[in-house]
Amino acid sequence: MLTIAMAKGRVMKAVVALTAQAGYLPPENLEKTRKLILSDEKNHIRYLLAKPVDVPTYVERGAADLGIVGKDVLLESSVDVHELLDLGVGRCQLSIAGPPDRELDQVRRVGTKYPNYTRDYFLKRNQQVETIYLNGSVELAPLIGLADCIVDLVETGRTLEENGLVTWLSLEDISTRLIANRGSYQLRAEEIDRFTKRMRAVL
Amino acid sequence: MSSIYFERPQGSRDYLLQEYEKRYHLEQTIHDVFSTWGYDWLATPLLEYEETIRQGLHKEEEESLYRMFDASGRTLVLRPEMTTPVARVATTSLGNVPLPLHLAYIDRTYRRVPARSNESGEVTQAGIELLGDSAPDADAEVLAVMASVLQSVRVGHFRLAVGHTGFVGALLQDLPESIQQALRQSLLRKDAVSYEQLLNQQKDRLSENEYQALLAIPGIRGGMEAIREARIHAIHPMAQKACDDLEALMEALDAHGLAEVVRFDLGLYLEHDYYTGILFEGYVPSLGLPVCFGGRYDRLLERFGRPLPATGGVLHLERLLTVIEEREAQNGRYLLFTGKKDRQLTYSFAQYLRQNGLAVRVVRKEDGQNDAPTTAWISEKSLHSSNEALQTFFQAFIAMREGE
Repeated sequence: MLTIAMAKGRVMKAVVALTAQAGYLPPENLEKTRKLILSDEKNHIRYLLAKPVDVPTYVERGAADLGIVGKDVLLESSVDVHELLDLGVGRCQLSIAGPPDRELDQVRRVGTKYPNYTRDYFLKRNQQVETIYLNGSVELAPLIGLADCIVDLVETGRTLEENGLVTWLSLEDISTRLIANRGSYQLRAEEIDRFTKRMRAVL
Repeated sequence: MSSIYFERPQGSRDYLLQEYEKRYHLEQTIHDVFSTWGYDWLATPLLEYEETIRQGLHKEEEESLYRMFDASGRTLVLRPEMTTPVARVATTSLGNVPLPLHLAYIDRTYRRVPARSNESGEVTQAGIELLGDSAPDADAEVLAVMASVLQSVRVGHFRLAVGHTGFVGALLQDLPESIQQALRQSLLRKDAVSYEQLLNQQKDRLSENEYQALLAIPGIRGGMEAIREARIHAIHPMAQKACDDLEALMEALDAHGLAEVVRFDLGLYLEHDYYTGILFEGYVPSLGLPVCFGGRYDRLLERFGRPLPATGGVLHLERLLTVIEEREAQNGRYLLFTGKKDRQLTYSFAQYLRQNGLAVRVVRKEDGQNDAPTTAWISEKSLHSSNEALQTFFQAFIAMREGE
C-alpha cells in the first residue's frame, strides 16, 4: 500500500479532481472529513491529511511514500526528496513586493512566511537582511513599518494592490508538486511509477 | 546551579553504552565481510593537505571542508571522504604493489553541515576500493560486497539503484556547459520538474531525438527492459557504450545471484565529479537516504600521476545503524563483592572468570549480602551465590588452585 501525504488547504479541491481523473478516487470527501488517515482499499492507497508545511517532513522521513504539496513549501523546507511531477494546479508566484517608492537594494528588513528561502535569496544577492517571520497577513508588515518589503505568494495581485503595494520582482513559479521519499522511490519503484504515469496522463 | 548546557558541535552525536556496543558490532560485521571477500585493510590520517583532497573535490563541496593550518602555514583539511586519501596511498606507498589492489577501510570523515540540516557531519565510511581492473565484473564485485554487508547486517529488504555517468554525459554533451551544469544539478537534487523545465527552454537547440532522449532519462528505470528502453534513446556511441557496460554488469550480477536486488535508474547522478562510469546507491526501507553508494572513477588516480581504472563503494555507518535491529543483550555482567579480608582470592577468581570470557566487575563492600543471581561474594573460602554457573566455575577454580 502506498501512503500519500496530502496538503490540506486552498489547492486540495483541484488536486482531488486530478487524482480522481487519474482513477484514484478517495473513499471520502477529503475536504470535508475530519479524519487524518483514509484508506482506499481498492487502489491500495492510504491518504494522510496534513498541514502543508508538514508534508515534506512526512515524506523525507518516510512516514509517507509520496506527498502532494506546493513548491513554496518545498523551497522553504529544503528537504531531500524526489520531485516527480508538476501537477499544474495552485499556480502563483513567489514574489518580492513593497511600496512603489522603495528599491530592492535599500532593503534591510523583510517580512515573510519563508524566512529560510528569503535569507538565502538575499545572501545570493550579497545583501544581508533581517527576516521577520510572519504567519499571515504578511502585507501588513510594510504598512506598519515592520519591514521594508515582503516575500510572499502572489496570485492575482489584488491584495497587494488594495494595500498600496506592488510586485517588485517575481522570484519563483509556484505550483503543486508530487514528491517521493528517496527510499520508497527505489524500493517501491513499480507502484510509484504507475501512480506518476497515471497522474501525468491527466495533466 | 549553572545554566550552561554543554552541547555537542552541530552535526555530531555521542554513542553511549548499548549504542556503542551496537556500533562496534556493526563495524566488526562489516570488517568480517570485507575480509572474507579478500580485501586488504588500510587506515589513513584524519588530516590531509588541502591539495590532496582537492583532487577529488566537487566545487560545491569547498564550503563544507573543515580547514586548519600546520606549523608552516600549509592548509590542512579534515578528510571529507575516503576515496581520495586511498587514491593518494595507491599512487604513492602502494605504488609498486601488484595490481589489482583490493583495499578496505572503516574510518571517520568530516563535513560541515548546514545549520538547518539534520544530517550528520561526522560520517563513518566503511568502504572498499578495487583499483586496476576496468571490467564490469569489478563493478559487479563492489555491488556484491555491498549486498553481502546488507545481507549480513539483516536490514531486510534492500535495493541497489544503478546508473551510468556516460549515458547522461553523452546525451548532454552538445549543450552549452552552463546548461549541462544546471541539468546535472537538477538530476543531483532529484528534481525531475526543474529538469524538464530547463530542457523545455533548450528545445530550440536540440533535435527532436535529442530532446526526447534527454526528456526520457529520469524515467528510465527497471531491470533489463530499462536497458532496451535506454538503447532507443542512446543516440551517441558513448551512450551505447554505457548501455553495454550496464548489460555486462547485470550479467555479472546475475552470476552473483543478485539480479533481483539491482534496478537500473538512468537518472541517478552522484555528487562527485570523479565518477566516470557505473554508479550506484543502496536503499533500505524506512530511510529516505542511501545507506551506501559508489561507482567507477577511472580518472581520479591519474590526477595523482598514476592512471589506473578504479571502482569502489562505501557504506554510511551512521545511517545503517538507524535501520538495523537492536542487538540482543550481551551475556550479563557479574558483580563480585569483596571486603579487605578476601580481596586476594576474589581478585584471583574474577580474573579466572574473565579468562573464561565472562564480564566481571569487582565491587568494594564489607558486607557482601546480595541475592541477585548475577552477584556473588567469597568468604571462608566458599562462594556465596545463587548462580549455578558461578558455583561451577568456583569449584573448578578452587580445584585448579589446589592442584598448583
